[in-house]
Amino acid sequence: MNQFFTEEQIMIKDIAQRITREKVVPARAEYDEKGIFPREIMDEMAKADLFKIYIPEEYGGFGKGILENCIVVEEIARGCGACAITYAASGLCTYPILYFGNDEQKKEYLPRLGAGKELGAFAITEADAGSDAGNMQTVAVKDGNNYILNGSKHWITNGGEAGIYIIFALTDKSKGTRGASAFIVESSYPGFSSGKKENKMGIRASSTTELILKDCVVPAKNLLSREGMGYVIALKTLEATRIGVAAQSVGIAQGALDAAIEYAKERQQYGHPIITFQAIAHKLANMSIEIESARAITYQAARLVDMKDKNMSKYTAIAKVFASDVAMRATTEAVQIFGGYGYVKEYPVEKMMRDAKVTQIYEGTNEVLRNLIAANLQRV
Amino acid sequence: MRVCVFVKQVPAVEHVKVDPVKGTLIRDGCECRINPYDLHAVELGLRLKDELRAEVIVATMGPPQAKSVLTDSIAMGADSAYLISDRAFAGSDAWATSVVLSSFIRFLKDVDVIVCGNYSVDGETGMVGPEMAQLLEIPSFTYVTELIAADNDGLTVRRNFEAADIIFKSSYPVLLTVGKEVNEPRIPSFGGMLKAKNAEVTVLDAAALGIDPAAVGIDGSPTKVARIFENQRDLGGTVFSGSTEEQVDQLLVILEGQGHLKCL
Repeated sequence: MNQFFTEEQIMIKDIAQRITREKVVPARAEYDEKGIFPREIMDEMAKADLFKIYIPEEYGGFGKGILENCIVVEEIARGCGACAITYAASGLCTYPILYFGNDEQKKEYLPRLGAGKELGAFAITEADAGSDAGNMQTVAVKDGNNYILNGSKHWITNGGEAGIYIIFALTDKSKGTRGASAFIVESSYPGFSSGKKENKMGIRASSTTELILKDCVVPAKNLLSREGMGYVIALKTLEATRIGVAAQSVGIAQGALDAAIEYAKERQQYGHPIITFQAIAHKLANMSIEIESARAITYQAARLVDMKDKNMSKYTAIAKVFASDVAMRATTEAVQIFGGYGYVKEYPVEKMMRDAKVTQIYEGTNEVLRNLIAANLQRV
Repeated sequence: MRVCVFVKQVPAVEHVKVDPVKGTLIRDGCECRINPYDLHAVELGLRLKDELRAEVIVATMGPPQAKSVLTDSIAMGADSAYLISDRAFAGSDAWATSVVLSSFIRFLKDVDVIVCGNYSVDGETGMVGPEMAQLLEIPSFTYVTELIAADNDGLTVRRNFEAADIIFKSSYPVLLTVGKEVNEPRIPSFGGMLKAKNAEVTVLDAAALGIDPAAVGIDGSPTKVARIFENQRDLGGTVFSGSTEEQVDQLLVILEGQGHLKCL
């Protein structure tokens, strides 16, 4: 893939690779076992300027695009899917501000998010509003110079650890989805708290919590765009940022392939390394075919996002669906190649398989995204 | 505060071969990189920059291609870089190298702290740092394992000796040599790498430093490398074969047979 990258993109990739090799890989097993939030990894990434790369220069960043963001996500995910999504989910908070924030909001929040010391999060999902996000119940009522938010959010990545949240709430219940608005909410605001941390199957170092808003006071100046724009803000954000999950999936799959190749070269049965057995060699070949294809569509779609192509939504959906399915297949196959050793925690592939599963679920389930792709095709 | 860190470009030693006829390292076609201990020296300099706003100057004596170790150091956060290069320096031993590098320190003026790696992995003499300190008539502390404290008046370091650790305090100027224990070198930031890409490296030759060519290079080297050879030692013993599991099984049988282990 380096042949298609610029010198600066390769620099970004090299930095992320070093962080993965030197910081992520040595820590990942313990983080996974104990559910330790990867704050130290995020600090290393912040010191390396990786939270700044997609922030515009006028707000202290390097003005790169979502493609560069994906390069980082993929490389970190090769080491640990949880660390990768922690970084990517902070971007889910940055992009709504980037796309819809006014100058004052950008000046306030983009440098803070770019510094990487305060992470971001995106909160639309509720207990009864997942794929059916329009079923949300959280409300926001204008009160003088503030909005008062009441409700709760569920399954929020970086919940409890982020300092800055994009929270969606209904400002006009009578209008259904068109009555939703988006707010920038800081964790220090009165009435904001995070609830229980989920004990997950995979990406266990990533923090996934409830958010509780009980008469939460949000300054009116933190409304993004205007009332009723929530649905559009959510769609426009997710149609771009879901490519981060595709990149995460490619990274997880590649990490699994790398581990499987190394193991298959060393493991001997019947006097030969098992990589020489066609059954194993074909598994590795198939994994490689799928991963390279997933990588190609992912970076193609990322380029379309950066070009603001009007068809980007279909391509990011295709990339996310395909790459996440590839990650699930590749990691499952890696466990198979490792045999019994693949089933125990001493070896990294069982974690990769557990991590891969969620990529088929979040940021648009693969089922909903197939609906989206089909709808796009029907419009042609 | 001014800190000067010396770095060296070395071949990746795991790939280097010895020419059996000439008795020299075959450097052609070898991947080159910064001497690993020098990364820790750069990091120590950068810590002084972070804590005391020190200016960090990084320098190397070498051929033109040695520039890459300087740009690596700028990417980590060093402020300026110098390449000390002249044909007259070729073949310099540790003493002649010290003459060159100490001349550079005099050229820079007002350097408070000089930092080097304990030794370079291609020569491993470990002598350049202390010899520089002698020529400059300043104190030196080699094999520093910890920079305990530093302020504008001096610094405190830990050195490890086999029986004990000893803490030393020194005023400036001072020379330190360090190894891997002293810190963890930072990963260059993207901003640092962009700065390094456009960084200017000042090149200085013997004339610029006022060095007499007879005092350096082969002519100025009191030591000569007589021979370099791979150390062949036949340690004897048993070499196991088979898969890792099979080899472990064979070893366990032997250890149990010798009474070293009791297998359950």
